[in-house]
Amino acid sequence: MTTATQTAASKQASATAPGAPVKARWRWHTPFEAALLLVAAAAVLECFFNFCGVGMEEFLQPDLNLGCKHIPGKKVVWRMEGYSSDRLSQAGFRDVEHSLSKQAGVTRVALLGDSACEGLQVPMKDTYARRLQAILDKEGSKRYEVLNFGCSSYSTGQELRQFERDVTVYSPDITVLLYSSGDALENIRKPWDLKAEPRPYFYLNDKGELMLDKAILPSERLSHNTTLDFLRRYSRIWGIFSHANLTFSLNEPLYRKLRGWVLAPFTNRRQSPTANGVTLPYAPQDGWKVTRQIIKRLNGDCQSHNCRLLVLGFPNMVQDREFDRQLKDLQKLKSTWGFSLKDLTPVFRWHPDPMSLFFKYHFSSSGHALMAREIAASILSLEKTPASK
Amino acid sequence: MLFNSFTYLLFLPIVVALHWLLPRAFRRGLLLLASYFFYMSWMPAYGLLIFGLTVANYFFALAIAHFTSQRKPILIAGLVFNLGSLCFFKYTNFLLNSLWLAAGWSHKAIHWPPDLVSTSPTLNIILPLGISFFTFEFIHYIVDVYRGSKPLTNFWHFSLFAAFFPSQIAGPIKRFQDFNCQLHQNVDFSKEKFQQGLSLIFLGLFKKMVLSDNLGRVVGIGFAHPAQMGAIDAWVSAAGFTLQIFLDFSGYTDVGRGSALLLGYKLPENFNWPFLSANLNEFWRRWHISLSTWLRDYLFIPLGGSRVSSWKVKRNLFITMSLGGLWHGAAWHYVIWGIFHGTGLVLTKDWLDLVEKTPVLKRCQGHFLWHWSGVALTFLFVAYACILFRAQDLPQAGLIMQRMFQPALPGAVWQALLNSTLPVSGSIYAMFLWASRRRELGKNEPDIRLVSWLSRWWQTSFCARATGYACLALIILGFAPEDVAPFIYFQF
Repeated sequence: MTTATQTAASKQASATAPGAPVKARWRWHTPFEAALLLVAAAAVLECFFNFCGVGMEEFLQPDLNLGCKHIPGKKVVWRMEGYSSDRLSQAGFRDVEHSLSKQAGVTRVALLGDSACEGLQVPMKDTYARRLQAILDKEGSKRYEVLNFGCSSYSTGQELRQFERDVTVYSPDITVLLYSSGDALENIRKPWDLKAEPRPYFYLNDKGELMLDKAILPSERLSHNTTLDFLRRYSRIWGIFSHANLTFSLNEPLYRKLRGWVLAPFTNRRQSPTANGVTLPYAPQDGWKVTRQIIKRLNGDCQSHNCRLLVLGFPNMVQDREFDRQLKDLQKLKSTWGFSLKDLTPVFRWHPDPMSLFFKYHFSSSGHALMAREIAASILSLEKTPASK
Repeated sequence: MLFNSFTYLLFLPIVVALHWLLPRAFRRGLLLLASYFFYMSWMPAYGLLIFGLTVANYFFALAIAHFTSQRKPILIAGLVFNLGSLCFFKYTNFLLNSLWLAAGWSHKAIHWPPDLVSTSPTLNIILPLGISFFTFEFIHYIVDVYRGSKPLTNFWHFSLFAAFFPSQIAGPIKRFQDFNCQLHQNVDFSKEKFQQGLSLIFLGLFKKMVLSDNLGRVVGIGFAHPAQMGAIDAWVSAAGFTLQIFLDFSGYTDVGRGSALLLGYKLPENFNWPFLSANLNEFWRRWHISLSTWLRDYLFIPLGGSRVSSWKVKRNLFITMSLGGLWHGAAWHYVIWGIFHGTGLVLTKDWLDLVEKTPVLKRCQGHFLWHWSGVALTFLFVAYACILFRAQDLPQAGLIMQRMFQPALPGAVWQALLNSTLPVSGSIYAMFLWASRRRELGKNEPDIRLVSWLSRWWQTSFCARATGYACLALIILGFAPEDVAPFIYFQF
């Protein structure tokens, strides 16, 4: 007994001796310690990330009609390709604040487009929207107000729905649509593909009428989730996870696969309609034919709101033949439908240093500046010509 | 499979768990399988290459040990075989291009059609990952056997030495004697080693993903538009790339060493505070140590080493560094980088000789200002030479070197540096380095009750450690740029 006590005592003494390795033990308060630590660590990390401007790339939230939209008033620090640190407007646009009502004598220019128009890669003051405002203020004979409705990942179909819901309330006089090479494919989905990006898709019915396919839009439950909304808006840790999810999904095929398997039980669009013997909702579509109808509808909407449509063809630097064909088609249609078209390819391609106009995929500050000059020239010449009906 | 990829994040825990769960007899087999899986996940066909080289070198070594009278020709055959395969994969296109270029210069004399000269012939050879590293390990093996070491008789042990995944792609270049010793030790699971390994992996990932990859973005802006840079931007780019390559490579080594520790193996250290070197000589003793010692043992010493006349020592240094440059990459700017360092080493040797002979200078040597100006000058020299390393070609390197002396206000590179997360993450890393250095030098930690309480808590509480690692993982995720960049030394 004495020997055992001595051994225990000597063990204890050696364990507490300075420099001796200390063994970790499981104690009764371990779960409380873990919970407390988690909360404290989360709070410290949130403050730290906030201070460093990390985890602030999250800027989109689900939307029942558009698939996604900007988080109103959210501060976004963006480090992909370029850098920017700005706050989205309270109305949810990457722009300065604008009032709904239009002042008398002001011509409003609404810019529609995807990430190229949104321009997160440059500070807000350098986007072509803000630069266009500056040029029109200087060179225009009347007062202009430029509104930037550009949003990452938007297709032409989303821009059409955005115009109908969010843009018309601002009563624009000119709408500038930036049309890019991948847009035609983003407007349609394979009718059996239920894993497509959640956004409104379009198709042409048997009569050739443009129809909306709402099957992939976010559910009501996802769109109005208070906890998720809170995390998206305020949590930097959430921002990091969401960004990491995006990065891994883009770069790691194994991650994509595993994520699909893990999430499969929680999603109700696991099986394709054909697998169940369900007939397809519509036949596979031609992206350009659908997109043409979307532009036609947008043009019609613009005309019914006393607004003129200017379509900008994104600079085709990689010489995409299909995109060239689409622009030529639009060229033929513009006089019939009564909209304006400007192909930006020649200006960008024959620039003395075309590489300086882009980061990787998006416009650099110089690219935005050139865009603004070109759009300003088009708008000023558009103002001189009477609107065709 | 990259160490900083999601796939490795899954691969490593599975291998580690299986390794410790399996009976001892199966562990080496598992590691060999895992190593081949690791290598072949990039390009399956090249698994055959590493296997073929392993078989050949195994028999070369046995033959050298067995046929003692014929060992020299066998060694030469082994060297020709190893260097031949390295040259074929790495230098064939370089040789063809260089010959074509030479022909292009003289095409006027021999009246070749201009279009024939403009399209140089290249073979469609994909450089096998890590070939420079494992070729050097094979050469070390057969030369050491030739010098009298006992060859490995167990083929599977030798295969594992050649293919061991934590050091397979970019070293450290192992010595078979150390590795074999560890293979025979049958180590048990050690908690200390495991924790040390985890810390090294986290440190390595922090260096790579948080610091090096972000630095790479900043530096990339400068090197993409060299003509637009002024002196400040050019120096920031050069210094940035020097730090980037260090952080990238030492980060890789840390993850490799950490992974090996999780499996119970110890790999040699590759870096020992290289940027605290007071001269170039010292720098090369602290930078990429496994390569420097390899070059010393298998090139510099066979050439005569430092026990010959002074000019021959200089010649040996020059040759060793030039070939070291060529080893890094099959392009002229790497060769010139090697020559640059070779010249630097020769000048350093002259300078150190002069200091040794001059009493005034020798007295100054102990002063801290002398030491730190040496540190600064060495860094500037290395950074200047690094331009040759990073540049696409010689004209670009020349342009940047020229820009370094054209005064201008800070431009895009400087702005990108300020906009990045590097000021914060760099400060965190600097604090970590300061604390590590103090501990290494044996300086006592300040007796702050809170610090000692935290330190004790960290040691005793599993929760504290788990939360600490989770926070670190989150910081790495948050600060890492979105694109996964491969390690710079993978191309060598």
